[in-house]
Amino acid sequence: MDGGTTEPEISTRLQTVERLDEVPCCLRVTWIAWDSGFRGSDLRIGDRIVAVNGTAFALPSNPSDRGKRVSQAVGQYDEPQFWANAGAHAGQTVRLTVRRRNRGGTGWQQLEVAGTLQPKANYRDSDNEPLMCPGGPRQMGRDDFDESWSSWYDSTFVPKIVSILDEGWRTGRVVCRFEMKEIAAFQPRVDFLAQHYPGAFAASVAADCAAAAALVRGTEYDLPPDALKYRQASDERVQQVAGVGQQAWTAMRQTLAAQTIEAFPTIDPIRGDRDSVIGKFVVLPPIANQDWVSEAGHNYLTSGGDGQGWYFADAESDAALRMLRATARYGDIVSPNLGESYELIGRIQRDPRLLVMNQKAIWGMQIDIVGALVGGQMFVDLNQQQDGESRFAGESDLMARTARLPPADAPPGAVIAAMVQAIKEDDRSTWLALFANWQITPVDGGGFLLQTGIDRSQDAEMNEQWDASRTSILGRVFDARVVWVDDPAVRMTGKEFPGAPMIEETEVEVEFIGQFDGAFRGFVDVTVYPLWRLQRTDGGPWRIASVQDL
Amino acid sequence: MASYDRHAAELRARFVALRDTLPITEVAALDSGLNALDSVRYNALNELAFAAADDGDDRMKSKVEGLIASGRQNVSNAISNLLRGVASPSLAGLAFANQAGVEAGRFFDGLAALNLGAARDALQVTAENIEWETKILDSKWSELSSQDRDLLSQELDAWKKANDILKDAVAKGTSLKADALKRVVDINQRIRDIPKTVGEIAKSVFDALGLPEGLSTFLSSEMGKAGKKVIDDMEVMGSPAGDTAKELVFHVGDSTFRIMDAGAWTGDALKMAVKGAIQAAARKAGLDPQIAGDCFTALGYVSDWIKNAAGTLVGPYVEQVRAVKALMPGQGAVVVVFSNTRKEAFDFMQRNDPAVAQKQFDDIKDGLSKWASNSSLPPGLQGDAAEFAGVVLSGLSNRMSKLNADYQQLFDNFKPIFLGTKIDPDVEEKLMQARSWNDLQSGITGLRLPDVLADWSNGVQTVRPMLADTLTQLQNNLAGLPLDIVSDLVTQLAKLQTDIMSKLDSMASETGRQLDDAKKVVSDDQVKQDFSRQPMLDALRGSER
Repeated sequence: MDGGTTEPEISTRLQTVERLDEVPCCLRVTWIAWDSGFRGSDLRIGDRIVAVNGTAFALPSNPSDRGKRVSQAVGQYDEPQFWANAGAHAGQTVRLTVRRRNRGGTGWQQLEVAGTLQPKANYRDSDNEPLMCPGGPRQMGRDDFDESWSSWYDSTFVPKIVSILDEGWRTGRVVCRFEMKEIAAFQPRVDFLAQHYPGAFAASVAADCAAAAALVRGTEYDLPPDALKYRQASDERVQQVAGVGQQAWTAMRQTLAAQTIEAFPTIDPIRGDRDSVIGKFVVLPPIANQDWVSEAGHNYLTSGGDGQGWYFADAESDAALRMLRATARYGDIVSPNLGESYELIGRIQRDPRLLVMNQKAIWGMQIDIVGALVGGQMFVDLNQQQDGESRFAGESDLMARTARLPPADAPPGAVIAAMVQAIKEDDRSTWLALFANWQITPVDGGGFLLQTGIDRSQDAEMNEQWDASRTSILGRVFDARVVWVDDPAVRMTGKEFPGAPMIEETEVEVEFIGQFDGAFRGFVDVTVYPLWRLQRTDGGPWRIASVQDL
Repeated sequence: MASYDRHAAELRARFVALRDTLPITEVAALDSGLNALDSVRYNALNELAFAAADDGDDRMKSKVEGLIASGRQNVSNAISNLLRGVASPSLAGLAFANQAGVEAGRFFDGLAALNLGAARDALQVTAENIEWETKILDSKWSELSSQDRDLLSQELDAWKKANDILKDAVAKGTSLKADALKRVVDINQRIRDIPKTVGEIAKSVFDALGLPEGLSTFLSSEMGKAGKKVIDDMEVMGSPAGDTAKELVFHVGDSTFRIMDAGAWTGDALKMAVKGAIQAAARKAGLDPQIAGDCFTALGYVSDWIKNAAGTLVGPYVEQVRAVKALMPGQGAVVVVFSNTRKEAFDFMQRNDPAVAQKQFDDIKDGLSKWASNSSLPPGLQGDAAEFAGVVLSGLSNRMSKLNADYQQLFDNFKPIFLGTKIDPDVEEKLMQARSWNDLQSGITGLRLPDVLADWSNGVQTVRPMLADTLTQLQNNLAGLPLDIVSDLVTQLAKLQTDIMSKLDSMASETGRQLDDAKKVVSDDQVKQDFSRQPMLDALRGSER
């Protein structure tokens, strides 16, 4: 017959670690025993206990009393003594005030949870063999498993569960896909317990196992197809755009063929019959860099030569500017390596122009650019406009560029989001500008050295971080989302010395999204950094203080 | 020479105030570190000020930015090294270094925010553009005036040629007119003379036939001679009437011939003979096919006169007008480009107005001033900043002065052509040569071509009634003769009159049309219109403000 005796000690049956560096100082819950009076309450591993029964957890001003205060705190090894001193009894309700990360948002929420004090039980069966719980299994029993229940539970199961549920996400030690296998390996015992030793213990093991499994399996995300456009390889984008560009270029020339004349020799701009060519189209051979002419700061594209006449296109006309902006967008979202040759289709204007080239005034016919093939790869139809822009052929099928510095008052999460976007879009300058150009370096003795005006553009370490970030976002990481932002804390008050800046600091938690078994899920492993430290000086823009890759 | 030593003194003073509270190792480190810092900061500011005030042609933005970055970095490193070698720096020592670092950071932050390099380059670009624009406008004006000169030369040549053509046409027309009219008058006179001769012969014949005493006269040797001559002429003709007359004269010449006896056998034959004799006499007097031909020839001269004279007006002259007009689009291109150049030059002057540059300069000045008086900087750094600002502004002031002078020079040089609100009259005349055109126009209108053409038209108009009257008179002169004897002659005259009148009408119609065409081409209004520079002037002045 099963039976048990109870030890006289009563406690919350919680395990905590003191966090005296946090504000307010607290006790972080690291484990809730299966027979804790807080099982079934809203208390969670990772919660910060800041008050017990309304009394804040505070350290005595006398340092010599602090050790005792901490050791008798909830979840600490000498907690029973505290309750004994307090004359508490088993079953007595205890109210804990806890702070919990407002995951999915900002800062912390504070809430009250209630549980009961429970004795530390000692269960035995009729053979007086120690049991894990009322009704077994025996602590030393194996039930055909390769390890005793006690050893498995205390040395394998609980540490693993704790390592995951107790902020395992933040430690950098959890490798989700590995942990999933580890957790899955628990399942036979979980099932065995449920089948042969049903009860609170078996239920708690199943619940802990399920919670850890859910965590390491990761939140499933639904990424729209265009969310992954950034992963398209540059050369693939180049070929794609070049293909549709060449087609569109050919199509435009065919469409205008009936109204197109041989470009050269041009009509004599003064004595020729200009009326016969006005409004007609010409297709100009590639215009290279050296064919751009600047007249006191005003630029023109030129095509022609002595003996055959000239065409001029105003490079500051609306159409030309749209062409140049399309070229710049191509550089951003397709490839920075676009040949700087411009093949133009232009409509001949009524008025000729004089352009000074090599200190000589040259006559030519002016054209309005209606289409351009740039670098032999990017075609833009300048007859087409949308919101004041002409998109190059194939542009709408590519990822739009959105990376930019967020506004000065942007919250820390927006800064991190901007960083992720900049990495996706291969925008190193924006990425670099998001990092703080100051640094607080602790020195021996408790002080710190503040460095300002750091030029990170010349920092070799930053180059490595950038390369690693790009590798990451094009590899295992499909996206990264801000899931939590800490409340800002003051790192420097501004009173440390005359003119000292006030430096605030906060922490941003990022969840990385990978692709597993065809689904997109949040994950962590040793290759990613979920925690990012941000700082700002004197209320200025938040900047990233953690020099690390994605 | 700037010293940039105020902040150095400031730091040194702080250090002195602090040194007694610092461990000896820190004192030594700070003492040495401050010397290094002074040197680094001086070098940084000196080089930077030199670059920001550079009055050369190179762009300095990148260099200035680079110098600010490297200066900041070097100063930051020097500050970080203030406590170099100190294992556990004191909080006071750290605060000293941190304060120096923060102040240096603010100093360089403020300096970087001024975008001095870009601002200096903006002034440089403006100055460069002004120099550039001067050359551009020079080149353009040279080319435009050269092309315009060529075109004007061709236009004026064509106009002069047109003028000459008109003069020649008038002279030639006047000469042809005189000749043609003289020929018509001559032929008219010849026709007028025909009835006189014919009448006299006819009268002699009838006198001889009707009066016996006259017979002796008729039979006189003179008559015989005349009759012989008639017979000779009639022989040439070979007609039956000639034969009859020949017989008659033979008998008249016979002394045995009795006129009274003659009636029986002469009868109708005599009538025929007389009729033939009169016709022969008419021919002899000139009323023969040749007179019609000569008449037509004379009229042809009239026709040719008008054709040649008027044709010259509507042909070669119009050709020249067309040649001039064909040159107009070319000059139109010159005018359009000239006008567009004026607009672009005006835009350029607005964009590069020294007021804009002055604003940029003032902004730099204000920025430097605010930076140098930034209360978050300690007085020593403010002093160094003020010194730095003075060096930079001094350099940029020189550039501003030159820029102002160059701009004014550019404006003065091209005010008459491209930059004045109005185009200088001399420039306009150079481009349009309106005075030359007006002179040529006056020359042409001075030919009074409409009057000349009216005169010619009147000349033509006088021919018809003159010839018509003469021909009518000729027929009237035959009215007293027996119709059966002169009927052929009357018929002949009537046909001649019809032919000539028809020819006259046809000629009048043709020449009238030619003269009308010529009138249209050389009317004062048309000439003024053809010679008008107004459309071109309007286009040219369209660019005036």
